[in-house]
Amino acid sequence: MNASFREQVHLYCEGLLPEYAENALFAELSANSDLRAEMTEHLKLLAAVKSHAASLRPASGTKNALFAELGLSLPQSAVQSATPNAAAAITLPQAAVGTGATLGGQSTLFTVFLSLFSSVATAFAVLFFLQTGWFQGGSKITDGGAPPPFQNSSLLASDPTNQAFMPHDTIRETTTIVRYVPIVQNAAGLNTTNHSDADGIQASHPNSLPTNDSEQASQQAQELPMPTPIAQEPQPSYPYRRSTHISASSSNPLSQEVNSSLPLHERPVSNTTEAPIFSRTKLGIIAGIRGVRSRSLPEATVEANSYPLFNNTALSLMLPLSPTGALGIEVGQEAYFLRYRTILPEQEQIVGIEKNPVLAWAGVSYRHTFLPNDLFSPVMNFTLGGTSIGAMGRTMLGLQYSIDTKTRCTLGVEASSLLYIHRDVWNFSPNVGISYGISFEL
Amino acid sequence: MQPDAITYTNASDEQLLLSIRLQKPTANAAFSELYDRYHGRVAKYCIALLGKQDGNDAFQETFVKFYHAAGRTVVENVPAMLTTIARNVCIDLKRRRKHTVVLDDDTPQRQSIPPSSGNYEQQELMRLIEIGLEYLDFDIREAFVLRHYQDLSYQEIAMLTGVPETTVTKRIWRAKERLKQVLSPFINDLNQL
Repeated sequence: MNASFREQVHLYCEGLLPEYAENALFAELSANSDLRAEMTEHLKLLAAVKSHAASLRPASGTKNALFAELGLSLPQSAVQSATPNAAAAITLPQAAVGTGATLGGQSTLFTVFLSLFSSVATAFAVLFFLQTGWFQGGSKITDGGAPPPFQNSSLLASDPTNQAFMPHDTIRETTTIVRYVPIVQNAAGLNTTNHSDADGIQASHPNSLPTNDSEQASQQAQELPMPTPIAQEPQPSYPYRRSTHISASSSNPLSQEVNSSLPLHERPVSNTTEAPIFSRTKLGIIAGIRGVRSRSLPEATVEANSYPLFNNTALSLMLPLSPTGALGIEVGQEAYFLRYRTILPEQEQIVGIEKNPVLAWAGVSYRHTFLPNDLFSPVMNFTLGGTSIGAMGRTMLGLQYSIDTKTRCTLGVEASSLLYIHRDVWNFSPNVGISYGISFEL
Repeated sequence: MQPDAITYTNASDEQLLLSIRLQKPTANAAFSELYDRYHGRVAKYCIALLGKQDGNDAFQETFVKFYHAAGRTVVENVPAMLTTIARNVCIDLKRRRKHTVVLDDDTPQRQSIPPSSGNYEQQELMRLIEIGLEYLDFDIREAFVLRHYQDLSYQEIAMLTGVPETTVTKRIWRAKERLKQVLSPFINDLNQL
């Protein structure tokens, strides 16, 4: 294309082209499609610049700040007229956040919709479980005491001696210990017809064990002196004494006699307001490791770097603040899909950047366990932290299963978002995925 | 009626300046009226030249200096004086704050604006133009801004910047060419404009 005609297009659009040159330009435009495209580009650029010029305005509150700096009071009429302008100016950044957070407006809307939907679904799920009492074994909460979580479980249903338990009694151990026997249990609370284990042992060793509880009691009473000093000792407030075997503990004549020898007002009564004796949450450090199978929203078009040893993994150290809450730190690595625009210095062009780096992150984490004494419990984990390029927040909603007093497994959904700034524009990169992990109390 | 409640919609610039210079009780309202008349013009110049953050600082400093100048000197042409003050402030601010553009070392992938309509595309275009302006040399950018954001003639620009008109013409031409070059991946998507 002739450079002079391009310059003439520029001059024509600026109103500087002399009339005598216009005819030549028009003739060239009618014959030259490239020149027409050049003129179209020129006009589009000028229109865009005009639109940009119209959008420029001072920041909200500038007038107030200016008058304050000058020591002037803003006139009443100016205050009234400035208020709508300030409100309009304030709404601009909100619109920018809503539509300009990512490169695709639809992706932002989809992300917001998905986040809202998952939040509502999770809330409904938690409410459903709590409403149906699934986590509480269908029992009622007694006065000031924790509910018996496994009162209706099959384990206790097959064990009629459970009837001797007080309503506020709580069984903590489920795997290694079969049952706990209450010290306050009296003879009337024993059901001798249901000691099938003892019967079985007795059948296999007919000469070594008494035939029933009464015989066993009388036999041991003959062999052992009456432990009167023990009866005088102050009894601990523990409601239960751990037994080593079902039959031996449930028919322990020593404990029965000790308790039956106590005056009624001195018998130990469990205090339901005290903290559980065999609480799972002890004041020790809880170390955890979890993995996240996440995907970015919108879906990443660039594959992430692979670090198979530690990718999408998090390590945590938590200090329990209460039976339900724990605070600690978390570190991990996760891929975040980044999209933004920048300038190529060589070509002097604006280009889009897409990359999916694996970023190390660290943050402060708070974990809330809704039902810390139960086998299954919903948990929620919040983490606020950062990466090398921006701030990061994570939320995990899940279900925790307690393997034993010190080991717990967690499965849930996890959402995280990376907030980063590039050329004074804030962007965010959300991830959603499934989280699974295990934690140990040290 | 209280002095602050007086509106100066129909007052001339000279009357308003006189109120400010004489420190009348209505000086606040007079200055407010002048601000309302010319703040858009000054904001366009400062923000287009320096970007949002520094542009807002320059904008505020311009009006502060204008208020003090109006109190002690006779101003004949308010917009010309405001533009002159704004230009000096912007040059000072530019000297104080060196802008550095951090570029990624990753290999970028060229990408075009997705063909969608709505407010988002408009905002994205505005941001691209800001980036394109930032990439221009200051002299070229200033000439372009004075021409297309202040609607000054080539002659006025030449007088303000102290260069010949031919230089102004070349600078504006160069600015357009560079902007077109920078925005070339997206210029064809600007159909709605």
